[in-house]
Amino acid sequence: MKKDTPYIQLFTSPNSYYVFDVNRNELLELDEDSYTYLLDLLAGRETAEAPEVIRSLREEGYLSSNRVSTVQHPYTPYLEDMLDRGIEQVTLQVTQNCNFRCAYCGYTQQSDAQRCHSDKRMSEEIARKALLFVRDHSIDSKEVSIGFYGGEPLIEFELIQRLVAYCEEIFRGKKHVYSITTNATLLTDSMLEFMGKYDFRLMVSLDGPRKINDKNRVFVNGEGTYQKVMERLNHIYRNYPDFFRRKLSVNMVLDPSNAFDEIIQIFPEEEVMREIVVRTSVVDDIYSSEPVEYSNTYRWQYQYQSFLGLLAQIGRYPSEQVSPIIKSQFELTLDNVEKIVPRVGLSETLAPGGPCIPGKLRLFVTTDGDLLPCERVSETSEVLKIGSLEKGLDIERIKALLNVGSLTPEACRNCWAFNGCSLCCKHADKQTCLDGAAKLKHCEGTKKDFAHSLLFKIFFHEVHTQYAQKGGAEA
Amino acid sequence: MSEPKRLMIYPFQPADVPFVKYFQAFRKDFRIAHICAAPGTGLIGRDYAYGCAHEPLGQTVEDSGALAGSDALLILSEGSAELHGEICSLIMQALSAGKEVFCYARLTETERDELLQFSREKGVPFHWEYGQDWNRTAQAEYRYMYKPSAPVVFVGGIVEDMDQREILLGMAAAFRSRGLKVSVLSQSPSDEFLGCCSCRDLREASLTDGAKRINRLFKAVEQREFPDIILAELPGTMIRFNDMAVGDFGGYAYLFSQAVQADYCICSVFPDVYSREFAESLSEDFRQRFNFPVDAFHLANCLMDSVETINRKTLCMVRIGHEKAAAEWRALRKSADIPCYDLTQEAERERCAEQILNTLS
Repeated sequence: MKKDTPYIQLFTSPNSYYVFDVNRNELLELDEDSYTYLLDLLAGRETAEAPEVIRSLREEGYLSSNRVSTVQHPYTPYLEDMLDRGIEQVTLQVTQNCNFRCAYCGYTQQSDAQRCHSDKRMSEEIARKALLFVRDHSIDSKEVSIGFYGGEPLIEFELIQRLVAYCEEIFRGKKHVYSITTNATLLTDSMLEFMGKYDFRLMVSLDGPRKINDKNRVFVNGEGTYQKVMERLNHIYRNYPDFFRRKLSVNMVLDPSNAFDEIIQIFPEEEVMREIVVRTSVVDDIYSSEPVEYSNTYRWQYQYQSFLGLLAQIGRYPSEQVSPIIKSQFELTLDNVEKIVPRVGLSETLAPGGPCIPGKLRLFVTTDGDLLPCERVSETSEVLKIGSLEKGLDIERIKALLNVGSLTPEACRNCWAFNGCSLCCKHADKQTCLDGAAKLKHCEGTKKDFAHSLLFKIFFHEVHTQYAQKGGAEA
Repeated sequence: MSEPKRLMIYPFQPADVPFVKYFQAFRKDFRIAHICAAPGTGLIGRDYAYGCAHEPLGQTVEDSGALAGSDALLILSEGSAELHGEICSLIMQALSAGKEVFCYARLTETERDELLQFSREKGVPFHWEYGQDWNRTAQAEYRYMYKPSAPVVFVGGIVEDMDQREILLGMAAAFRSRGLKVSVLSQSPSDEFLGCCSCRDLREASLTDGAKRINRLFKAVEQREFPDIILAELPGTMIRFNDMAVGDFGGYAYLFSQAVQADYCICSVFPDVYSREFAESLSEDFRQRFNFPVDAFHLANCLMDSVETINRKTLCMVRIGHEKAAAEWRALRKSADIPCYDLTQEAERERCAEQILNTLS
């Protein structure tokens, strides 16, 4: 992109034309002539006189060619204070052991990029140290979230009980909440009662109906896990309905090599799944040697279901027939759309939208007491380790991870998805260093996601203007 | 003059830093011997000013076991819900030990009656009533909107808990040191121990009722105290911050503006958003909405955590070390047309007081 070309991205819909102004973080509707003018301008073609609409927009400060001068996160000078006072969440890896061997799990795949399952467990001493660390570094946080993770954390339930008792002591006077991510196969009534007493948020992993789930999610002996997990979910649904309704959610990891329609069959088949909050994500292949493959049936079936979801959003299709997966993803997209808030302009120093402040938002503590930015990064990566309980947080390392955008400054400052970028240090991780080229490989994906949010915004804008009457606009 | 009585205060939280800092300016009959906090605050063992990331002020926060070394107990607030039982238990302990108790935490009627009964049995005073001026306004006869004779200074902010209490108490102390009689309307009930009035329950009043009651409160305070100047802390936020984190839309500040005309307004802002253009635009917005401009700004040592603000849809702030903040933002303050202060500093408060008095005269 030439330096003096407007910092924009153009979009079309079947009904109209749009420009996304990066400086103003705003989507504007255009007429065809203005769109064509901008298209020519961006392509470096000769342009006619600017239409009146374009001239007006320029007068109002839109279509500026201004770009960020320095790609640096504005919080960089304040990191020490923010991490000294503003930690909000800690996730404790209470064990590296698991009674499952999920095929897509990074810990199962035995790659150099991630640790393997092991018998390692977190000592109570390390856990207490971690909790005290968070307590002493969360003075400005209104609430602290304490999560338990694994492997399968329920293997260490007795430790969790002791740690909760400890938390009740040291966090007394500060709002704090507990959460746990589990495969649910080890859940007993006494565990459920304990979690109910301390108001735990419980997330259970289940990937779909039996055939789909058991393809990837198996016990150590290779047997499928669906029956056991579903039995536990039904048990909670029948016997702990209040807890079920308020605190339980299911995390579905979508394997796109499957047919999407097969995955969503779980909802008509199982009443409990129709009553539960569902969160979804596609298999994460960032640390895998084999990239995730999308089957054609997944792609087009997913698109069709999304289409039905969109119709439901505008009252043209019964909402109750839309898959909860689609609804959950729509919620996420709508949330992202709401975050596209207009601004006055881009500062001289700014970073792409992606990274959180490592250690502040989701501090992850391994069994050994090492500190990582979150539970989704490689535990074997030297470069992603942000400190230890013994030595504290490594501010210089954290600055480097926060400023992952500065690895590729020219690419970032000319990228139209600057504000909506979702890349973080994980995407640049090469175990011993951060690599700009590795990060750039993920750019297309993040641009696609941001474009998706903007197209959603366009759709909802057009719903009222183009599809307001019964029958709607002609295709 | 007898020795000031030793006071233990509990449960101390970061919002109470100004209470301790300016305590001696208001009460000579007590001194804060023990600042006690719940363990979850992370403040035990630290200088109390750490609560606001200010420079140390020379007193360390302790746990709640310091009753033995005190003559009286002051319960600042209810703290979090889980502290309630502990607070009641601490009050009983104090009364049993013959220590006078002042309580600004909400108590149920049953708890209050039980503690009162207990205090009578022990022959030890237990003070629990607060907000009496405010409560009386509910029954006060409305005849006309009262216009205070003394000048009224509003202290507000674009974000809650961004030094408003510090400014209120600090400026009150500054005016008092000049020999002026100051009436103070605070949003913190425990400030009544310092001689202020509080209207914490304003949010339970209806809109029109709220404005009338605020007006009655000003009348009650002025007719009792005959102040030279009235300082009033505006509750909540003075603006709708943005589409993501709206705050309370400035609704309560508007109620105050309808109740009483302000003669001066100090607005606390954080440096992320501050610029000359912002200051002018905000002042003009206040003029349109509240019928008064911003006369002075205070720059708080706060930073908005924009990621969390967007994620949680509520303003999330982090304190930055005061010394670092002051050094960095000095240039910002020098370029301002509307006076811009750091009112945590005594010299700045004196300058601001001078400026206010010149403006009002």
